[in-house]
Amino acid sequence: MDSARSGINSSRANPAPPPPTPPTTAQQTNPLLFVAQQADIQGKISFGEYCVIHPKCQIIAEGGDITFGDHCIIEEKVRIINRARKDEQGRPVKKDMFIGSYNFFEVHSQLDSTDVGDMNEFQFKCLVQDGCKIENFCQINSCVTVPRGTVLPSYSVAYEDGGKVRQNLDFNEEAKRCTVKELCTFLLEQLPKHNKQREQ
Amino acid sequence: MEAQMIPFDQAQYFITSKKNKISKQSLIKGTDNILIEGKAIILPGAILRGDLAIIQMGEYVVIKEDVIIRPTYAKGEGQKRLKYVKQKIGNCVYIDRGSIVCALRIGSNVHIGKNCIIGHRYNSIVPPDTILPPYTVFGGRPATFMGELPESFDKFQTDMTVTYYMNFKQMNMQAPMPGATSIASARQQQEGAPETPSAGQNTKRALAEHEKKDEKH
Repeated sequence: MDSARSGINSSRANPAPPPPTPPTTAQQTNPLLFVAQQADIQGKISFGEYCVIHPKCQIIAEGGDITFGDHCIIEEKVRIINRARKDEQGRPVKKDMFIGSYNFFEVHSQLDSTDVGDMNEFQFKCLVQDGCKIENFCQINSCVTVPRGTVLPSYSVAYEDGGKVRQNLDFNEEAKRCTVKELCTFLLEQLPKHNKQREQ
Repeated sequence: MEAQMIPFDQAQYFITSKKNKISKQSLIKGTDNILIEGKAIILPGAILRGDLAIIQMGEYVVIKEDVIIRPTYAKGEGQKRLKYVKQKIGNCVYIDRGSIVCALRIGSNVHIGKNCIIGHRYNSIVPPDTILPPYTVFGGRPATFMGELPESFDKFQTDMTVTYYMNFKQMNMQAPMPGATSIASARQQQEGAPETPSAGQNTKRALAEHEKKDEKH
């Protein structure tokens, strides 16, 4: 895990682009990944190992690539969008979006052009607006809106509208990692029995 | 409660042998794992995730638009791994639009309002491992006890779901049903009504066909 995280951090710190991994071929080289056929995926998106993408979710990369880490679960009706941006002269600006490992997006959550660290949980119907930054081990409770440009430091819990944030000091990192891993393993066994995998 | 006709287009629905009315615009996955006792109504936009675990539903279940029903996950006895577990829904349950239901078990005669969330483990709208006792109202964020219901609520709820089912009629029907005031009279009318030719479809077969079509699109 440490190595994985350091890998992500280094790629973030280093402005050089990550090694080009075409999003669609990544699935073929990687059997430990499930992307449902009914998921709406547009643009260049690359997934890590053990990711589970449920049907009816939307991942749109308009303004740059989206890179996911390992063990991410994206449930139905989730919207992850990297919006197209323009500079002052009206030229399009390319900005990549990075999402770390062990992230859990629950039903109906929405994420707009925001970099995300590791082991975060986005609960039902939450909304993270444009240009936020979410570090590691955060939790965004259900129906909470995180306003534009917020920086959520590690171990924080956004629990109510209006940007109310508290610190979760007794976060159990190991338990969380186990939970997400077990769920991923179960889903990777179970989902291909009833769903078609996306081809391309 | 006043009886009001709820028209629907027959071409957009499956009417199965157990008299379920299931919209073709709903997303139903894992049709082998969905057990419906009969007389259920599933409206467009609803999502049922039978591929995760078994979903068992009783009679007269009304699932409105954009409802998501997915089993919850738990660690079973003697098991080391987390897995999704069977979800049970009782008779005469009405789930209003936009709700997300991840409950382990829902009893009979339950009304779930609009945009409710029943979450699985963590603090959510209904907090973890909560058991909502019979005849109570829970609301707010997180859900707290708000009040009690009269003892006649189960009859009211049964009446409401059954009446909803009875009034859910085809769009091109000429003679509307004259006010289903009591369940008994409504049932008599229902039994006496001639069957439509498409009403002989097996639920499982219809759902499986629907799933296949969905995947092709």
